Amino acid sequence: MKTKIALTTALVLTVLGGCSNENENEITLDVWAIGWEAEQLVNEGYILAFEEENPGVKVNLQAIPWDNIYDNLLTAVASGSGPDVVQVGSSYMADFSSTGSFLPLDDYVDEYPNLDPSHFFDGAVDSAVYNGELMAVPWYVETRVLFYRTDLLAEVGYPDGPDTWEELYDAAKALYNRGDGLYGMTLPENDDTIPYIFAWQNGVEFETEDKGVDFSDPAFIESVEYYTRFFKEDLAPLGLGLDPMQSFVDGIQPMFFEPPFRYQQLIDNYPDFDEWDTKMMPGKENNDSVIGGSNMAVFEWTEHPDEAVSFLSYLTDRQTQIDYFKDVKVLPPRIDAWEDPALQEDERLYRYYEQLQHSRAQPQVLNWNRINDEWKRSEQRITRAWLFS
Amino acid sequence: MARKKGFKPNQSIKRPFKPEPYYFITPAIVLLIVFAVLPIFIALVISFTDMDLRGISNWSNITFVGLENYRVLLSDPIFWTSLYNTFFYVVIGVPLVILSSLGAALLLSYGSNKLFQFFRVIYYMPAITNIVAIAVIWGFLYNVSYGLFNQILGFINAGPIPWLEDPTIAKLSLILLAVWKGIGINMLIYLAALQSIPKDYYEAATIDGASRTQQFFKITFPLLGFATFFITVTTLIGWLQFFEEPFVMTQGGPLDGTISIALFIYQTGFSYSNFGYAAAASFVLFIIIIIATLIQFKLRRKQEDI
Repeated sequence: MKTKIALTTALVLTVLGGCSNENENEITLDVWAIGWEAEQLVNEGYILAFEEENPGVKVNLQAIPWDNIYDNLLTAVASGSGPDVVQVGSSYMADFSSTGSFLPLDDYVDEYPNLDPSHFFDGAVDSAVYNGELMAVPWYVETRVLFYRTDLLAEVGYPDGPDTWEELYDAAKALYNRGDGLYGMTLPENDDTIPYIFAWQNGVEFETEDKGVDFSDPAFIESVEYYTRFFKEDLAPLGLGLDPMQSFVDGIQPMFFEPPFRYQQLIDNYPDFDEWDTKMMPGKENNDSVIGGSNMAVFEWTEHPDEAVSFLSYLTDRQTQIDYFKDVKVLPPRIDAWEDPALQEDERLYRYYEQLQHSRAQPQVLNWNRINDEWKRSEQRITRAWLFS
Repeated sequence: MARKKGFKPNQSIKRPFKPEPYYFITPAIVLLIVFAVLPIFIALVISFTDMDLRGISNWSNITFVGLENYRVLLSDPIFWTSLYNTFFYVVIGVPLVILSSLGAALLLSYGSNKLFQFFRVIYYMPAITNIVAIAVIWGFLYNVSYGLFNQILGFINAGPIPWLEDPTIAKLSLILLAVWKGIGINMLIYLAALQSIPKDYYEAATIDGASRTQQFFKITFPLLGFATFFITVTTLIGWLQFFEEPFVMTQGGPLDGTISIALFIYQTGFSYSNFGYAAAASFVLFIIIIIATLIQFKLRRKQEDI
């Protein structure tokens, strides 16, 4: 039986020619992926398809909840053992890349052209590169765009939504003045990303050469003043616990900046509600938004680097990316995947394509979690100044 | 008390050494050393280093920094805030838990029919409910705009109260939640202790003409002394490590109003990967708990000597 498998494997390998590994025994590739999206890799048959393309390789995929992945990665890095392939949220990339636990992929690009960074949005590649080395490949991406109520914004003179900072503020102010219990927009106070999106839009570059942060830029201060003004003037209500989507539909908060899952939620939960549209982020110096999502990386201690990389190559293949979008509705980081009609069907979704071209990875700075929390803390002191008076 | 004094072993008699008991306790001792004692020492060592994510993957990146972590800790305003909050939780929460569980136990011990049994289950329910489920439900209850509490307040034209949005009110809200969750187990201990009090005492007291209140203060409460001591020690330790409630409900906010020492340790250790610093903080907490427990044992002994 065993010889039979070995023979067929050898045969297929010779026929395919592309695979370099000549292992006679079956290889098991351990993969840690995150959450519901990962489960769909199994449920929708992607793992099977990969195994068929690569006889002799079995993929053992574990879907790990988002809440646990950081601890799992930590344990893996601390013990120097773990799976071969791992999904890494783009916000952890800098910290984990700095530990040297990921296999640099630059040498594999020639053999597996799917990994070539030029296929992906620049912002998606930013988080995958550490110190000039390619540490991971983008698997899916998300970014934020402006969602606005077309009917209500038309009433205050912005039928196509606000384009600039001044227009956004002006529209929010006008919407707020509609009456009691009505507000300009939803701005999450504790948001991890929106404060630095505003900083970028004001032309701030706070990443320094030695992976630190520079907050001394006057443009940065201006962006903080702009952001906190929405809270100070109550245009975005603080601490009311309103559900953003419900109050968007009810018209209480007719604008918000949201990732693609919100698009899907609105479509699924409110099929008859059509008074809304999406739009690029209103900007100042630029319209940048933040790119998030997940990368796939290979741990440097893997015994099967070739199979691991070919799995990455399979996931980032153009057709896989298009199919995966159709099944799971997460956005592909591959630029050429967006040429597919499935992604262009709805204009409101296609806006993400536009925004993704103007998106950047979160600052690739060491200890970013810490810096970001401290930043949020300072901002709370501004927005909740009434607590101190 | 007589109970304890009468127990003094007679040390003059020499007993032959029997190895069997040691065989039986060896597994427990080994587990305790490997999983409880050893980690404490490792944490102590780590607290003198600057271990972080790079240190954990490659030990050559770790350097000894001596007492630096402790020095920084004592000048860290967030650590002091978490210390203050923790004492706030303990000072209000612990007496509240003890009183309410004693009250619940007394009420439930009045009878033993189906209704009382039903309420025993009801009061015990929160103790076995998953904290995440609790967080979801209480998150809704505390919601400023849609929450049940504020709706009820709205009927009587009061509120709305920002349950989780104001640093002090948020602390009280979390205490309310934790007391609700903590009553169950302690109530069970009190119920067991109440049932072990012989009925004759009450009969004798009734014949002597003692009122209900007198019976409670002269018989019930003194005889519950050991249960109260046990509950106080465990509850105090539990509340010094107050973690789950702020972790699932507020993540320490708003403005660090609900951050506890345990949550501070978690954040520095597992969100910022600052393991050395977190180990130092956890050692400070360890020492606080030891001191608090020792004080209680001292007080207990004094009480017994009277």
